[in-house]
Amino acid sequence: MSFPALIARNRAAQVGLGVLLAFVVVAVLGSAVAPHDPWQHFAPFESPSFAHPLGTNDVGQDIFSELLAGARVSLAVGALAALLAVGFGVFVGVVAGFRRGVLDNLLMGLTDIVLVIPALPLVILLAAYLGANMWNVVLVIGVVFWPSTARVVRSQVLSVRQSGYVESARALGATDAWVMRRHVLPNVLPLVLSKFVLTVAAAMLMEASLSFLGLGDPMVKSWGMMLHYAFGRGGFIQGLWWWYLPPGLCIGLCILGLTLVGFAFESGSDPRLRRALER
Amino acid sequence: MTALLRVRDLHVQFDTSHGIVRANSGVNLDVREGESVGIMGESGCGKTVLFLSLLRLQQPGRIVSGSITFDGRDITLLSEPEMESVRGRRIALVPQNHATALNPAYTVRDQLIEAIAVREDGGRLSSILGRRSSSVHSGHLEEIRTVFNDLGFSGERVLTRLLQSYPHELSGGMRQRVLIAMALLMRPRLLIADEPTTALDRATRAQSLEVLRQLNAQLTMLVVSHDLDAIRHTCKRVAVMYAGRIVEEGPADEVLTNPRHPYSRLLISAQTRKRGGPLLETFTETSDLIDVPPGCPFHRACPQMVPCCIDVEPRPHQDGQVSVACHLYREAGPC
Amino acid sequence: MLTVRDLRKHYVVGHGPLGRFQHPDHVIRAVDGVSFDVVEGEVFGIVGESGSGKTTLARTMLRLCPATGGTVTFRDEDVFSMDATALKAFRRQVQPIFQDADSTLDPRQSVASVLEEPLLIHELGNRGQRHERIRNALDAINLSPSLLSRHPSELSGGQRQRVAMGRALLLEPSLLIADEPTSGLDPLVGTQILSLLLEQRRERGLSVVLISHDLDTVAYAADRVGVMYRGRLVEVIGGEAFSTGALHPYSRVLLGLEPGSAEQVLEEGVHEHEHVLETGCPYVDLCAHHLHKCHHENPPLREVWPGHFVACHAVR
Repeated sequence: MSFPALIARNRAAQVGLGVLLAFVVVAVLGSAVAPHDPWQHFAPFESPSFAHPLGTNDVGQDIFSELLAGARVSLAVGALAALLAVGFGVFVGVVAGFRRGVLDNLLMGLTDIVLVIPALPLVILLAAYLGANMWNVVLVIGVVFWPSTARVVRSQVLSVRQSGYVESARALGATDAWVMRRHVLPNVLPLVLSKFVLTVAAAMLMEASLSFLGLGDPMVKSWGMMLHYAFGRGGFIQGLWWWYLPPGLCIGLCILGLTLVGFAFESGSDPRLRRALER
Repeated sequence: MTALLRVRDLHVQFDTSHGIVRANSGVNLDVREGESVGIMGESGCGKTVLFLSLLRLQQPGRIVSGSITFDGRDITLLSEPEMESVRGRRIALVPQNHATALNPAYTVRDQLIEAIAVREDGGRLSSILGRRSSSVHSGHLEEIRTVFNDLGFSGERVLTRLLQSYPHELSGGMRQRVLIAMALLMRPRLLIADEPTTALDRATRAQSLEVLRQLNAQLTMLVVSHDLDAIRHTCKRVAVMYAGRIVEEGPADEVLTNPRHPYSRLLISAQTRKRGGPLLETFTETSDLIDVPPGCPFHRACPQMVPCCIDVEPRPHQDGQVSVACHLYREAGPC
Repeated sequence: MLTVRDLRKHYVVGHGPLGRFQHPDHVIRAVDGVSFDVVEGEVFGIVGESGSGKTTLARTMLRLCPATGGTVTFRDEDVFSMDATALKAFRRQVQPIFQDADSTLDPRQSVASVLEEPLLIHELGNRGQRHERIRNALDAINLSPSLLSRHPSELSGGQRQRVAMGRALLLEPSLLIADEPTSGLDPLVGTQILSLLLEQRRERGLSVVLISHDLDTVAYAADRVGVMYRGRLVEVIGGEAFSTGALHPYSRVLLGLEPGSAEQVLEEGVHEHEHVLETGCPYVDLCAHHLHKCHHENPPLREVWPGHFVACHAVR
């Protein structure tokens, strides 16, 4: 079933997609819609007013403008990290599943090792080691999230390889390359797309966690960084909810949107899930 | 002789995203005490839904209208707890898939004793667990032995080995026999056998059919199958189903040797292979149950269609002892 | 046309944590020394119960899984030693139709794509010619062109099997290996498929190896029949004589010419997982006619009448 069709049949996914698109539009338009330059200093700790809909932070920057700027960063980091993770994961999964043998065992061993290590501590370690830089954050998240995709892709490749239709293709005279192109990849890619969407959600959350803990890039405004300052510079203690709630809510909503869409896509590759979601 | 089972104008429907599937459209069937009736038809004809409805297991289908009178009571009106005393006890089922119908984690003996426990205590969990853990049920083992004797197993050694086995250690034929024994232990009034031969190989098929045929001496039976052989060996009467309706019904030796309805003819001749003779001609796809056209459901594929088949649905007409739902058999001649 | 000599396919199965390294002599002899010929233009039937090795035989013959031993010769060429080019040409000539078209069709491919695939693999013609061929194939299998855009999940079992048949026929092979083409299908639909198969065979002069557990079908359609039991051919007999004139004890029980006891049914079930003896006749445990030597000597396939071969010591 095609992806647009999957969304069209699933009310939850439509809501998720709507939310997501709203944020993407904001991210793209960026500072064009912000009332102020997020780096500009005004009076600090201002409450929400007409001039500053969400007030100002501890150094006087307009929170609302920060929020809009942060959309771009948070989404971009999430998407890039997911791209890295899924890209590498697909490569490993396909090679391992298709080649099998010693190479498969080696790759899966590596995958298992990375999978077993708890993600957040590993990410914290690597980020602290590499230094506070958004590109490092992308890299570190990518490195931690590829095994899950690799496993899923490999198992799908294996199942396709053993299927009756691949055997039929061979009986027709198809080469390995042909089978890969015509049968394996089309049956694997739908899975990859859903995995990508869900990985973006996970990556965004991971970036927010890293930034919150102070390992993010201070020169870049992301929602996680906003939370970092909001909690670190007394926003929470002083009850300045207009500072810490909006970024948190935005992260939550984005992830929710991504997850709903991701689940809808997932049902496309597994017919059993489809029926449950349609009800 | 009164009918043990009387189905009148049964309509069963399924609501799907593609539309309403009319699985049974006005089914009428009588099964008299002591009879063995066969329901013959291909997949999609509604025979499975029919017998599931007798057990009120047709969900997610709905019984939209009609009545099913069993032993004087209309079971479509029973509440679920009331139905539980009928299902499995008064009407027992021997399912088609013997591989999955038995619990792989318990021995044959345990599962048969469980059946007896359900029959006697109404299936309360405590009583089933209680029985399994205690070791002496000589009366029940006797009963099991008797049932297997009836099924043609008299060797003590063989029987002991059988009872100790797990389902996966048994062949298909044996598993089916266990399922039949399980059904018999419930002491039902009516036994339904779902596709008794489909999952078996030929060597075991004949034995299985013989067992069923002999069972008819003690029980009223309903055999649901698309296999001509199975019906021929076990049934005294046969009803042919197509597109949710019964299109032909009568004594088995009449219907199977001299089918009247064009669909029955195709179905029966398709299973006869005489070397050197022709196989049946290929014909177009069968109708689906969503877009049921008006008139006779078979008219699009019927080699003997006449004009009124297109818009007038045929009622059953008598031709001797056989009732045929086909315009060709109208007393006044085809329209 | 096709010569199979002493074909063997063994699976090494081990128990215990080390698997095959621990008990290397636990071998499943799926195909154990099968030899037969298929003559141009004939229908050669192979019957046997599940577990007899018929499907493994089909796969091994087609070189879809590697054989453990023996040879397969197609028109004087050794199939197992063919290089890639010769193998591709062989595949054009010998096509399978497997049971259960549900798994032999890619769920993501439309019918049009499925039918186009063989033509693309062998680069047969340009787009126009391909479409022409596909249209002819649809005619031959009695499938409406409106179904071309559908996917396998939207077709009925009979339609799927016809698509699989169409795909095989598009290459215009000379030999079809049909492995249980009708099991799993309703009798009416199955008969349609069989009828189609035989019609195509008549029109194109195809040879067919028809593998089935349905004795009636094979008795109807085959010119010669081979009976398989536990990986070995125990009898080869002419199609006409098959239903009544089979001589091997197993064939006779299979055909219902001789009874098998109720004990036998239980024994088969309980012993289902035991492996075949290395020496001796595989049927000796269940055979009503066994002699002492049947335990030690595997009977060879001997010609007892012209064209009628039986592997049994008790048959003279």
